[in-house]
Amino acid sequence: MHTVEINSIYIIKRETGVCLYHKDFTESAFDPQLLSSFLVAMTSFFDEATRSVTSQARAFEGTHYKIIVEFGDWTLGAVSTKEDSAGIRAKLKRLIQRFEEQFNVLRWVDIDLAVHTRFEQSVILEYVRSIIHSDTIITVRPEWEHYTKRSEVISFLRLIPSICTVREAADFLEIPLEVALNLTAEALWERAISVDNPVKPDDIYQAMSITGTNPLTGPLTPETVRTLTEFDGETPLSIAAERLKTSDLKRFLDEVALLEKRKMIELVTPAHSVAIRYTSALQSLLENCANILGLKVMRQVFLSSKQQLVDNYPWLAFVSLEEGVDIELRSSLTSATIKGSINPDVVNDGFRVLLQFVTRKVKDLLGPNPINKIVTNTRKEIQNHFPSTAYEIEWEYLTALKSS
Amino acid sequence: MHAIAIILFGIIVLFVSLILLTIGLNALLYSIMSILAPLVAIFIGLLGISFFGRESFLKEDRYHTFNVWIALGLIFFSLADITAILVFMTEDASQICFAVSLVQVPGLFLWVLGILGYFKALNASLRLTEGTQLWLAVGVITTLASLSLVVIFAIISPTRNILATIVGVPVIVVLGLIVCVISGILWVFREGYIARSLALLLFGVVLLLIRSIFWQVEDYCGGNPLSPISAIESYLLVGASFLLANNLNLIFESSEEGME
Repeated sequence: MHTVEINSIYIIKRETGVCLYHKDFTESAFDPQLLSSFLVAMTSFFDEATRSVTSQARAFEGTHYKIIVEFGDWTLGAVSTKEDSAGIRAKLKRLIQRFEEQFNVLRWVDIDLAVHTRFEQSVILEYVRSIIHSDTIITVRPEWEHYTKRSEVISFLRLIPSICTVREAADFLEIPLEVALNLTAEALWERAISVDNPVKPDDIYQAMSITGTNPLTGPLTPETVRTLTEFDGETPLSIAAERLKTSDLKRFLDEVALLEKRKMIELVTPAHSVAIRYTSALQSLLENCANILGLKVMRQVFLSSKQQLVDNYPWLAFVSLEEGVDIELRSSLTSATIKGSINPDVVNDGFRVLLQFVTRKVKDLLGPNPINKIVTNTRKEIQNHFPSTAYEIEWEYLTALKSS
Repeated sequence: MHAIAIILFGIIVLFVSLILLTIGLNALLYSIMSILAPLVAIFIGLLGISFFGRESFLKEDRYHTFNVWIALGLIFFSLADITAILVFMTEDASQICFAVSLVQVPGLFLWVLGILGYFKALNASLRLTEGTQLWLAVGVITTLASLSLVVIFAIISPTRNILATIVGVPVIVVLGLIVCVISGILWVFREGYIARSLALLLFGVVLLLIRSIFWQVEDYCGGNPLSPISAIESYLLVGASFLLANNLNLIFESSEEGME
């Protein structure tokens, strides 16, 4: 079950400790004013203690939650979440910036600007919309009418089946998919529905019980252990199914969902998924080009591209080549992506540019038509392994313009 | 730079040949070129193996394997030219073409292996053709063309040694096939740097093809200096192609490769 990644969000004026905006996604949350006072007091304390101009305190940890704090010019944003990650922090920073731009007058005066209504869409966009996809399953809550007053959401929920995917709802109502996605996000915001993202063939899981026992159920069967070895945090489920010689992919995905419920496997972070996807694409591209140009030339192309980019993307220094053109992510980078301490957008950006540089250089060596063919064939290969997420790689920027 | 040096050497050979031909020293020219031809072939063959031979087989590097097979084929061609000298010394000039063609066959076999192997690797990346029909068609066309040409040449020149025709014609057909494949590959990569190396290789093979055709059609073997001259120019073009192929990676230099 994939839920909104945060429990609650608060935006607080630093000077006064007043909570300007808050939203809770769970039933039990902190009292906004109490939390605001606590955070402003603690951050002031750390400022005093360290005598530093920029505040040091960044996170507070409870048993099942963490409170992440980020600072703006005159506000402070806090999010209660299960795990601290660079992705959540980046979204929070963006929201703080947007809040400060939109409600700048609140810095000087305290007036009612209908903050909750006007800022709602920004928060929905950052934290809710990103988990809604076309195959997300909507489950309408039994007494949904009590949760929402918005007319468009009421119309939407009144007509759709109680359990359906977003795409099915869009087709049923004959509305564009994008509209259905936005309505679903608003309905989730109002807590009128719950959502579930089914396990997809391009999901990457890592095993949590690698010692052969599960803390909940005890020792595992040899077959389960063999299955768990395929969840190495680097292999998409499509390839894991091939390796386990599974003929029925749907049944395999259902079994994976069950293993996830039992906490025996967990989904890798978005940053790690992006890294694995791009590494596969880059590997395939290098191998296809090496068939034509040879290993020595392709190694040189990769290394010179990397050298040109490492000043802007220092983490690319941890992407190297083993034998031939086999790509290796050094453990520092792998650890950062698994922990989520590197933003998925940063990983996406760096790899995208690296792919572009490599294709440009190969275009000089082979000409535009051959490299375009290779990019097309590489895209087809990646689509086989990552059917839902292959499109997130911007293939059109990799194709070379044909010479006149 | 080194590729230019090789081409310059080829131009010098042509220039010297022209001078000796003009003066009328055909016999001297034939002697010099007959000795030079196998030497050039061995040198270029060894050059190719030194560039590409160290790593290609272990790492399944198709492009390097292709160049290694070409280099090994040149070694056999040098043996063929040495054979020409030996047969010429027996004063049975009519047997020269037959002997040279026969010794060239293993070298040509290696060239075919290299080129078709590289084409297969290209096809895996570019998906130019699907299925095995193309290979079947190539095999059938090569066989039919060889048989037809043997019959045609036997009819046109009934006095020629039939064995020389049976060996010489398939050499022409195979060289023709190699020219077609390289031309096709060159056409695909015509806008890239790699086209320069392929173009030089193509010209080299075309020269060998022309030489082989003239052996069948004209009396080109016994004592005619144009035969070894065309062989030398062909080998030098192949050598220049090796040099350009080996220098592809120098276009994009990085400091990291030296450290790895």
